[in-house]
Amino acid sequence: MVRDALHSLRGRLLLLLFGAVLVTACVQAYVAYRTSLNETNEIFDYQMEQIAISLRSGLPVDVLPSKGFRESKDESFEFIVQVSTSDEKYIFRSSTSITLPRSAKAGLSTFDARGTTYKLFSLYSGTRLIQVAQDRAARRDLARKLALKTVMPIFIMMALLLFLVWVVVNASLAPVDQVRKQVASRHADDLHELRENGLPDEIFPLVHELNLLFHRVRKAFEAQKNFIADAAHELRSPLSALKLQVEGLRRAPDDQAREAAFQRLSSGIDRSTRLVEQLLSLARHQATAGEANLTTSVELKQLLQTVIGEAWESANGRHIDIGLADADECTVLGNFDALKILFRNLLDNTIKYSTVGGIVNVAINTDENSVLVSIEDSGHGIPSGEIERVFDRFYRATGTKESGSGLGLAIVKAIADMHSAKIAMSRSLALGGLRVVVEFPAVSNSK
Amino acid sequence: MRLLLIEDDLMIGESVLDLLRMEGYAVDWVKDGDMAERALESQLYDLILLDLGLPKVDGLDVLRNLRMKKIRTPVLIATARDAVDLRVLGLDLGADDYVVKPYELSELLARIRALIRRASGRAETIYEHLGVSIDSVTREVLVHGQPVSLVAREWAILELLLARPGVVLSRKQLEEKLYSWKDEVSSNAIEVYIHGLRKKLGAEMIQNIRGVGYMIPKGFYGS
Repeated sequence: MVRDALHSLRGRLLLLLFGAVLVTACVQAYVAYRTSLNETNEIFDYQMEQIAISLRSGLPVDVLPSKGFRESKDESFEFIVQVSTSDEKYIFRSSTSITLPRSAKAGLSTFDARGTTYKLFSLYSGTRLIQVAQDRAARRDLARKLALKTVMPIFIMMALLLFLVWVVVNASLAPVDQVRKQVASRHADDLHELRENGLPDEIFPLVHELNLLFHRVRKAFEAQKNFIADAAHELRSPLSALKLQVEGLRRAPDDQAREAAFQRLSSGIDRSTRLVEQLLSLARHQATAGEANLTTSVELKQLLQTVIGEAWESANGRHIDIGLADADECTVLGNFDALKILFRNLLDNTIKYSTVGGIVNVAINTDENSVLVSIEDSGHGIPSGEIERVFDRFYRATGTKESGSGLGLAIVKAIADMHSAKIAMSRSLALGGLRVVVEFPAVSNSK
Repeated sequence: MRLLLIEDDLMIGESVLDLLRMEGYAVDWVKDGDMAERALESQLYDLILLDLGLPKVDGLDVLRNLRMKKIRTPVLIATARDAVDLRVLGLDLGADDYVVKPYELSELLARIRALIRRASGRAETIYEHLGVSIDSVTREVLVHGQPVSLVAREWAILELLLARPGVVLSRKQLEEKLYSWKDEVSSNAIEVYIHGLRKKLGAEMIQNIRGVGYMIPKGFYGS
């Protein structure tokens, strides 16, 4: 339980403060008690001495205690007074039941009688011995009672202090509690920000950071939701097609129709496969975007030559002249395979949307701060209104007859983000089509 | 029966087109909203199969315009979105039913039949008139209890004429119901099918009103 309490700020504060208050109060009470006890003792001693002194003068020489002397029933608190002469005659005795020892030395001493200890003060005055005694236990009880009376207020104050500590701790931690309640009472999928105003400086940064986190998570959540909705649509369409194609195959009336249905089904399966591969590729590159360890130097010229080589066949199929125009020798930090996918997707898109017999130019230019790879074509380009949207998942250019997953550029964007590269699209001044520029941060030469 | 298929996915469109044709429907296929509007201006359809595509919400506009022009053609929505909102919106804009992709072809066909049946004011799937009974689901035709086998287009003509006895349909009207844009229609095709039907059902069943068209009478006089 103590361990649990130590984990809570309030528990720890209360425990430590309560402990501190208790210890201080006890020490104070003990000290007060001791002091009070000592002082009472001294006062009692002083009283005995004063009584003895006051009896020194004017005592009758031979007065014996009268027969009718009435003894107090409870003499435990009483002072016992005895005056005697040097020849062992008692001049005065306040109690008949006890005889004070005459052999006692002058001043304070103790003696035992009647099963208890007495404190005794003896004063020699000429031939007379004046003695005053008091039961030490009774005296101690009295002293203790008096001392306790001085201690009581300390404990009352302590209780009050404990209550105040409790109130103050609770009041100080109220904002924390409020935040806790606010967080606890929300639904699992509620990712809206917490109220920030009126929070103490200590927890404001915490709540603020929490809110920033909520914001990011909400954005990610929404993106995820959109992605799922989009993916559902995009996955269902090829599945729909497959289902219908199978049905077509089943119902084909003759061999010729069956052959055509087979062809359709086969291309339907290709389409689904392509979509799944693209989705996986996108998921992979988005998942690694945050943690990419980009320490490998990649020779851009060599990489682009490879990619252009791979794309040549499909370009040639459409009589498109594709080539590397300017190519500065340069390296960027990155992942070779990912960058290959990036440029391959860009080139595929360019080839797909280029007019038959067109031109595609790839170029690498470097300046002090950046490495620019540009891909220009002589196609129709993208209407300026749509440039913003082309990187959206599942976006497909309006009016396009080309089949595609609509994920290519989303993958390009994910890989570019992974490499801190920027992508810009504009109208190609040289060729009249689209110009895509990928801008990598330059590798500093000072290393 | 003439259907308009509005579908931007090439693979789906191709397959649906073929499968519906195999069922004996005359189908026109358009791939976007503009084409759909143009088709709807020039032709009366018995049913519209509308895809609510993702990039353009054109489909809903087509629907809205259609209903604004008071065209009552049944509209069956096909969508790949599970969003209920979109389906509700579609139905509230005047669609009659919906299927969610990927759908079963048999379900799509059943819904098409149901919508066409309802639009012609009938609830029952078996319809009998003057001793001729047709089952729109199994496509069975009985003449006085005896099964008769018809070719797809004969069936289509019989279904059209039997749906509204006493109403005359011209050759042109029948052609429009039976053939889509892509089909080549020989000039005497309808006559050939009518001839076949008369042979199988009895000559008095289908009346030819010269210069007007064909009809199935409400009843036989004198019988």
